[in-house]
Amino acid sequence: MNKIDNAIKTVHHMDYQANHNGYLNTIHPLVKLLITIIYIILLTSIDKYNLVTTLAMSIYLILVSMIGDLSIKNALKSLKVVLLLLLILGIANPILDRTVITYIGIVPITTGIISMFTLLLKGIFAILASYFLILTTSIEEICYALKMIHMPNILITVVMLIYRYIIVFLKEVQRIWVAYQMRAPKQKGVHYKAWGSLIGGLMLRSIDRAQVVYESMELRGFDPDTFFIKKEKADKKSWIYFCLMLILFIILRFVPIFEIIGGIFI
Amino acid sequence: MIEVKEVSFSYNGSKKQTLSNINFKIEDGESVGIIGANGAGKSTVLKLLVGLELNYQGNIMINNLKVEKQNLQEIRQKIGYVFQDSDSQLFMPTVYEDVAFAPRNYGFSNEEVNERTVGALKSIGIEELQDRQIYRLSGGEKKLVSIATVLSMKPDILIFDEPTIALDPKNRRRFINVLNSLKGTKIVTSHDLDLIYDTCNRTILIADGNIIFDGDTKTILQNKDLLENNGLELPLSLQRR
Repeated sequence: MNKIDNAIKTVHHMDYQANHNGYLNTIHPLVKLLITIIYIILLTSIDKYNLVTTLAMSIYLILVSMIGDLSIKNALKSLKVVLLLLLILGIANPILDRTVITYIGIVPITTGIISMFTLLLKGIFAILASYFLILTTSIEEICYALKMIHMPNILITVVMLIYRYIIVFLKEVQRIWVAYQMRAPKQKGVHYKAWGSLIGGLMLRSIDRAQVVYESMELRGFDPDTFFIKKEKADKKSWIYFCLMLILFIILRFVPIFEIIGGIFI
Repeated sequence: MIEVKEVSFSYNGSKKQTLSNINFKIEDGESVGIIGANGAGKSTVLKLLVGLELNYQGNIMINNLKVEKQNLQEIRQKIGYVFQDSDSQLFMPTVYEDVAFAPRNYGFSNEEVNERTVGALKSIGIEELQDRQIYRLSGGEKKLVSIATVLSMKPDILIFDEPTIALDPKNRRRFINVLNSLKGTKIVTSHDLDLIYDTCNRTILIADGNIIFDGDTKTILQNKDLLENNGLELPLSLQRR
């Protein structure tokens, strides 16, 4: 129950944060979307053994968290399931790729370990960048920005409705769970015999509720073919932010800053 | 003006007619209650008026526009529909965002959106809620915000589906006062006959998809036999007399 409650609260908190009046929220959504896309492209283009450059890319995330007053710790906490999945994906690397490149003490460091960490960091950074975008931009603004980069309407609508549907779904899960618990107080979790009917009921009820939510949107002028928020063009401040971030990305990606800094001290 | 002429309707896959050959006319500025037992067809009438169901027989006109696909956008701009369940109606993160949803969708400028949003909230006295998160509102507050979400469209016609469900007495009274203060045509469906008594001067009684009575609210709500024969009871306020 607490987990469902927390999930609902997290989604609401993300929504609220996205509509907050922070500095990053005032940057044009198109600019923020483009920056995030460029960041992810540059990040994924790094060689799988280049751990140092991958680490350097974290500077952008630290900067964004400072400007936007966003907590990296909380973000990582919210994304722990995804992080676990990334770890599972990368775990095969040290087993399959065993070329030793150096030793730390007596521990051999293989290319597999390096590539596992690089993959893990790339995944974490890409997810954090997207998460920060969502935290500073409402889903309607993201859809508007997607529209501006000529993403097909049908996909934009799907993105928006799925996002709205998450809350409807979680609330239905919460209701069904409470109803089940009230009549099965000694039961730990859901008995396997009830799984079928609970999931079936959950699907039917959440589809019904999603339908009513969609009707409510339709009755207030929502049209999937024409929907987007009218926004002004990106202002000077947004483009300056874009240019600064672009310069930062180029430096982080193509200039070996850590080596240069390290070279000063050696 | 709303004109419903010889309208029949069945839901997809159902052989039973939910509405059969109903007729009524609602003039501008009227407050009309639609009453009836569960499954009588009250909510279906409302859904037909706003075009949520289009597969009907007969003719429905809203301000001289037939309710059909090509007119829906224009019709829906004239009608504000307040759902039974506020949780289904409110889907944006904050009160302001939810109330601003309709004007934004209709393409108004940012200034106009702001003016309509703040105006709607002020008109029912809840401007202090504008920055609140929806999920932190009480049931009564959610109902009032639901009204504001449709008032921001400045509709000619307001439709309320079972509006007092889950409201405590204080919020119910507040809702009735708000409802009575609103201008324009109002249609209210409810089992709460005291609400109908307090807010509507005309009432339509529906049973099994047919209109049984259409006339003065006081006349019908004092007719014990007619109400009981159609699965209803006298309003509590009249039972005590």
